[in-house]
Amino acid sequence: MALQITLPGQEGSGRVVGIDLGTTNSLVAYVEKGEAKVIPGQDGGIVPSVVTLDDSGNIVSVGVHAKKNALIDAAHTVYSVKRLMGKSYTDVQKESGMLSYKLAPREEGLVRVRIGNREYTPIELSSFILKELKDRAESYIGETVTKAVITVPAYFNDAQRQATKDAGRLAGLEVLRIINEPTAAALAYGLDRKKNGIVAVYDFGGGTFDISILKLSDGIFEVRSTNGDTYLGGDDIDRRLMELFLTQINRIEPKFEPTPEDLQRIRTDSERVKVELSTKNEATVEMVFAAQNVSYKRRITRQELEMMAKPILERTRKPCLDAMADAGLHPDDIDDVVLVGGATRMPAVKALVQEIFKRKPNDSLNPDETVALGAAIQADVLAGGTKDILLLDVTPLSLGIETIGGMMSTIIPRNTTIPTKARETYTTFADNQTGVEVNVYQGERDFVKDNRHLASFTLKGIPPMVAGLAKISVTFLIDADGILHVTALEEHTGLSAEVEVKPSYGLTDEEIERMLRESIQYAKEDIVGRRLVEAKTEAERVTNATERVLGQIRRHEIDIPEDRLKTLNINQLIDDLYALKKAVAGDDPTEIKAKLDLLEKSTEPLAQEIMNASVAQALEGKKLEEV
Amino acid sequence: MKDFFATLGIKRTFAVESAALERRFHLLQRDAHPDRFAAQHPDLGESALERSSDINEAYRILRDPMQRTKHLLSLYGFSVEQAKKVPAALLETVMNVQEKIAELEFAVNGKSEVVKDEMRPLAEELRTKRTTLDLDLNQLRDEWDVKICHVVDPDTLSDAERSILARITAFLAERAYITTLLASIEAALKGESHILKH
Repeated sequence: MALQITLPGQEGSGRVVGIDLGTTNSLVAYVEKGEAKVIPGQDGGIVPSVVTLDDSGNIVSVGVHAKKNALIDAAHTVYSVKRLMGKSYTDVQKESGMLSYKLAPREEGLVRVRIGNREYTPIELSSFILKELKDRAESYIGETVTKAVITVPAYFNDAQRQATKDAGRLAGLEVLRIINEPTAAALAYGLDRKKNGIVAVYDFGGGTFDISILKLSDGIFEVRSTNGDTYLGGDDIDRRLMELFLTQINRIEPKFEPTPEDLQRIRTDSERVKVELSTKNEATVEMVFAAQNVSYKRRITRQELEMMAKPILERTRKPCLDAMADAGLHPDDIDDVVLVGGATRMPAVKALVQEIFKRKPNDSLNPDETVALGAAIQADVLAGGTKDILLLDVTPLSLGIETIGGMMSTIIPRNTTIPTKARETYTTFADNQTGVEVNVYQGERDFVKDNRHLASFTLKGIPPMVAGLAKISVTFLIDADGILHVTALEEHTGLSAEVEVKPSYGLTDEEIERMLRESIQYAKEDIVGRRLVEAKTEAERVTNATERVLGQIRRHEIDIPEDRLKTLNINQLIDDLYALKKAVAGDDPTEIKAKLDLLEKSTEPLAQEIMNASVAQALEGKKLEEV
Repeated sequence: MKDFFATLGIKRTFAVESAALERRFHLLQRDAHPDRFAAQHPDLGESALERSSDINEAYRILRDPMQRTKHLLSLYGFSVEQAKKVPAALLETVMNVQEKIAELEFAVNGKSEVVKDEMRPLAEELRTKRTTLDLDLNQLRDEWDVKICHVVDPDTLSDAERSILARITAFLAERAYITTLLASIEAALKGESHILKH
């Protein structure tokens, strides 16, 4: 909600970057010499949205390393945090059993993740990812980065948008604009092709689904309608596979109790199988749970996956039809249907889109990068670089207040172009009443109980007068970020009434201020020092593991055939290992990270070989169960 | 009272070409949108927010022909909603329709088809009336658009000019009434509802 605290002005303009803060992966991009590009790194600049923390609250790693950590230390590793943004514990409780990290049970308010003895809001966890992206951008561009455009699903509600903005602030970023992911994608698409016409963007990502219909005319990107589901994505398909595998493993071994690491292992394999089946007709999972002496192997076909995924994919149909109806358009009126988001790689998704829009969808965009590139373009527009582009977006959900009988009275209907404002007048019901409580909701249902409670606020300081005489005019303004601001004025006295907003599923301003203060204090303690400690910790973990494995090979505790061993280039590996150790003895975190990356690369074939060997060993112990 | 025509800087006409209106909207937003001021002083952003949301509201109202018409009339103190009592010219037809609908409700087997056959000419009569109204309305609106739309101050309208708006208001109210009646007849003929909505 509407509480902006002005931070002490950060000097120097700095570069404005565009950030795609995704459920599974995040990217940061910027515009250089008129061209948007993703800031490179491992895996083409894709940073897995995964964070590992230790018991005392230090960040151990973010991204690729954290994703690897999830397999060995699942309880300290958090992923898919975007699905928790703006949610309560009750909202997400039903799937907490499938998570390998713990949620803290709380009656009300924003859900929290428990690691060790500490609890974290999704806002803080997201800020760690944003901070990593900021750091990467800074070291790549060679300038400080203090401003950003961050993307959110178009169907995110007010609380989720505000949460994202707060995460940016905690990461030390001034969030110039929150923009919708499909709109960002349209920007990257339209700019590249200098196109005019009606475009539908079908954005099916890891955790959210959006459909937006836009009209492109000479640099104006006008959203006509948007719809979606913020709790629907490729993750749900992974979860179906996990459930299937778990059920079948339990059938083989009824006493099987998965550890968090086991769950994570099953999750990783489920995701891998899903990805493989987009290009192949068949894939295999092979899992060994050595501690419980259980192994599991299964072949799965694309057809099987599609049958499992069908009910999930089908849920994208109605939002598409509703978006067309809201825009007053038929499939014939749409010039192009653009696919964005990793899950649109599935052939079954393409087929469904073709069926809904009665045309072959355009899958020529890079589904991973497009949103970040669009965010970078918008960042450039806001920085004053590009002048001939303008985004006109809409509010995805109707905004209303509770009236008598628990009914929703809509003040701003969905698909209204933002920024927009509406005014309502309130009065008092009792003599000398000095306060009025107002409950604000977002959603399309008739009764407020079926919609999302955004906040309640109390109009205070109304001068005492006869019931019904006071006239408090309340202005609801949805800004260009899609975030609500409330102001109030008592008309007789001309006094502005005090508006006290309590967000239902977010942080209060006091909490944010405290976190910021703490993080600034922390930052003062020496950013470089902290990065160094992080890099050293990570480097030591990897050197120890590598040395242990090398020892095991030497002692023949791990059995790798001689001919295979030759292909592994152990000498190079040992060189890289010593280079890293030398770097650790110094105090340059960048150098340590560089050497660490080299070592990780050269250990990859070995890791694969060990995996195969241990699978083979374990399989000897237990008969393979083909299901 | 807000004047959305002034917000968009266009003449107060009933007929507006939608492509031209959209171009006007885009032109104004290119300068007014908060995105233009994001890198500048926050106060500039504040006023941009106001101006930009005013333009959005004006465009939303004026792009819709019915809302545009009502807004134009309201600028001169006319309200279609307030004019919604049964128009005298329709009184007889309304009573006939209500009678037939009531008859249909109590009709016993076989009789209902007879009543329905008697209702159809009534519906036809209403449709013809609506077409005539539309022609009259078009003529009045054209007259306003061509000759009078530049008069901004309601107090300087001549009686003849004022009567154009008064007639448009009355005709629109009548038209709305006919539409409701026709919907009731349709529903009755389909057997969906025998209760007249009005």
